[in-house]
Amino acid sequence: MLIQGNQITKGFGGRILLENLDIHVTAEQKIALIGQNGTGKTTLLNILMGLDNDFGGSLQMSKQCRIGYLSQGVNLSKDHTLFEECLSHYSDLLKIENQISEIEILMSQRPDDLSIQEKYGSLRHEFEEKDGYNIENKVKQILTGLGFPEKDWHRSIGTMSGGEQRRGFFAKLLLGDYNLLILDEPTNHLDIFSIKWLEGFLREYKGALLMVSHDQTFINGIVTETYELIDKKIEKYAGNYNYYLIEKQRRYEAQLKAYELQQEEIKRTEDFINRNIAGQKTKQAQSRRKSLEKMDVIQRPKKTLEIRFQIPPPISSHNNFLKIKSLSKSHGDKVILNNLSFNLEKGNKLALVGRNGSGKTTLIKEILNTNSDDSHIQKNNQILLSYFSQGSTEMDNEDTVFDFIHNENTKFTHQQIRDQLAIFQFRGDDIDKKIGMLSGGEKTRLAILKTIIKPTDLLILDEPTNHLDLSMRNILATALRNYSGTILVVSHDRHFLDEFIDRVFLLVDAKGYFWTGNYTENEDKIVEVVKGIRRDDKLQSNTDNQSSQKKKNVNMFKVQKIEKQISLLEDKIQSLTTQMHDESVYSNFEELKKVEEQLSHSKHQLEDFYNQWEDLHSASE
Amino acid sequence: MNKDQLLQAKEALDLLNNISNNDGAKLKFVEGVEIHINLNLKAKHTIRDTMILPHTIETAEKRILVFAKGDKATEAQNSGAAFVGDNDLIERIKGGWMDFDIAIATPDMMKDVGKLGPVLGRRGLMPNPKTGTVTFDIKGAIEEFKKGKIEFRADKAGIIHLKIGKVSMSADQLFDNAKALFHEVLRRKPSDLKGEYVRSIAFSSTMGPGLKITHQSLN
Repeated sequence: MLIQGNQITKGFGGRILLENLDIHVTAEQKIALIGQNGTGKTTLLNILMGLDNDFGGSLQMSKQCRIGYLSQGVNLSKDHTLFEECLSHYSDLLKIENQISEIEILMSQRPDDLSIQEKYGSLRHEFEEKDGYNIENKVKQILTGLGFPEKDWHRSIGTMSGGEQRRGFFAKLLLGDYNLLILDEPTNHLDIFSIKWLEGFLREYKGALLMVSHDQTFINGIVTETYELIDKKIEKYAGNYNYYLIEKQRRYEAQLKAYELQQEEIKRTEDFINRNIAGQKTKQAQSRRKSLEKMDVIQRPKKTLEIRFQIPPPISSHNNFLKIKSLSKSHGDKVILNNLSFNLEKGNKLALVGRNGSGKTTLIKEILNTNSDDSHIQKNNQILLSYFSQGSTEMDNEDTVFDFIHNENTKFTHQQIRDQLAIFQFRGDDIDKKIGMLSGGEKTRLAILKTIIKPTDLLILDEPTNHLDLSMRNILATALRNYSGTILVVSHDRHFLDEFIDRVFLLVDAKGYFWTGNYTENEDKIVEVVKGIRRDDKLQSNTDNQSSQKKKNVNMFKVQKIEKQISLLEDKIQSLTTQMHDESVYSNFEELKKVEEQLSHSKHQLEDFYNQWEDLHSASE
Repeated sequence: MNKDQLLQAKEALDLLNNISNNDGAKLKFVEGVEIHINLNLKAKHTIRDTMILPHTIETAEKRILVFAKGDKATEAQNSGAAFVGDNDLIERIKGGWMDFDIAIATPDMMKDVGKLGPVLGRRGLMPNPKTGTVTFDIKGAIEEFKKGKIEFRADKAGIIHLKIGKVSMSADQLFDNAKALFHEVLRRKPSDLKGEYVRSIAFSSTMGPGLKITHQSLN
């Protein structure tokens, strides 16, 4: 046992977050701690870390427990380079290495001094035993895995962005000699490829792991247990997130069944008591009343509400939204985008993927800021476009949460706006809060809601899932799937993307690669391109595909028309067949002949339509 | 036979040879025989040394490289070292050349040889006085390696794993090698160690099972 918390109780400002909660972590356990935003996950982690001692209950930590904690903050020496900072974890080995170098010089000066040789032998042995020769390799492996290009290894930490510093801090943490890693949202600031690398690293990690994450694919790939923080307590599930979903439903159904059976039992017993309390069986009735009083009443389980959010449908009837042709962009000598071409048409749902710094946001900004006379980006100005990116939404700190959304879509009733806000976890008094009072995460959630609550033809979303918990990510993904408009999205959450995208545009070394299908369907090809294994069959635009798509669309339109005719004819044939069995028809030759002719004609027509339908289908495949 | 059953050393070696000679006919190589001595050591304790086994294990001749200058370089060449040099060899190794099995250096060369630490160290070839590879007695060191000098060391878990021969050797020869090693290990018992020193001993062949033996049967 590494950590054991018993009866932990913690509240803030009169609100109880955790109540009599029991939790323990043993060596080699890999646990995902999940729960809605604000349920107290980070609070619990702080208690387990010993950072917050103001709580009820008890906490025991084994003497052998060495915890590495990735919090939301960063603690690095700004003067060091990234490589130096990571190496600083091995200060004892670096000290030995320095001593070895000094003794090697002494050995050259005093080659006959056996005591020096003895000391050298011991130090060299210790260095080897502690795997000293591999420390630089380990640092390089982890920095590469977390997406730092070699040119950044010797950059001073002070010159790095917040996201880079957090990744640097994470790299240092992964190098440490810990036997329990506690990670609070480890995938933040990591691109999709680093997330995948980290998933493999943590899966093979020999120590224990307790992590809060909202990335479903990531959780599924690592953990063996899922703890849900719900109703101030922990509910344990002995499997990954997919297992949790199935088991949670099973537990709900089992408890509901038990509840219903008990309710029936109670009703039967009460009937018996009512009928017999004053009769010959009064003793039996009294006895049953006693047992009823002692009965452990099963509570009706709470059903998790299936929340659905609907994005207003698009308005424009135009098909062509965006045409990018031979687009290039450079910053100084550095080429950011090199000869990119792709089209975005009505109904397309495109994921823009690539490593951090590959030019995704630059491309989006080029699209947003393009002029109508730009020869490389043709944007249909008659379509309505909504854009979300963290920190990009203008907000008046004096507005209330409610007003902010109401101003965006005045067609909604107050109740509708309240309902939408509730989905994005603004409930009760929250909706009257001034925007200036909100946390960064709350502002982001509000900005996403603002982006998707108004009618729009093209949604451009740059990392919309940061600050969204698992359930909100799923609600948003479902809404985007059901949305009939066009989407261009940047996200590092593979499950989220797979829920709605139908095409992928990958940016690598300023070049673009296009595939149809969702992320997972194309993952192998994407990874090969990113690793440089696959470059020859690159497809730098989807314009060819678009023309065949157009042809496909025309065919599909004809198919639908024919299917409607087939349906009408089938109904007509059914009706005529029924008429033929009617006495008034089959007893009247003239009438029967007329119906037969109609039936025969309809059958011929139907056969013709069937043939046309088959031809169109084979042409579109 | 129970896998935890304790055997006598000779009995175990006979059994390994029999198993290998019956089943090993299918193998395209002659299996090695290893000894595994599990010691009760603290983190501060180091067991690492070299020795010459009574019966040499037949292997391809080791290619010995010597870092030395002047007379010592001549001594190395005369004693049969495959490669002798100073900075020229250091540069070759830095360039990726590693066609040797043992590296020996004179103490005065260590200032320069030390720069090869990461390259040689990762392959277990870094000269070290503890293994007799940092010495002015170049002739003696080369002779010992040619005679079959081997290095033994306890790993992080306190276990010594060492090849003591091949199944083609007789059980008596294997026993002599195991006994000689065991006595060297006993001789190096840390002076401040309390309680039991040797936890367990086992023999195994390259592809065969592990057989536990009693300590007494090696004395």
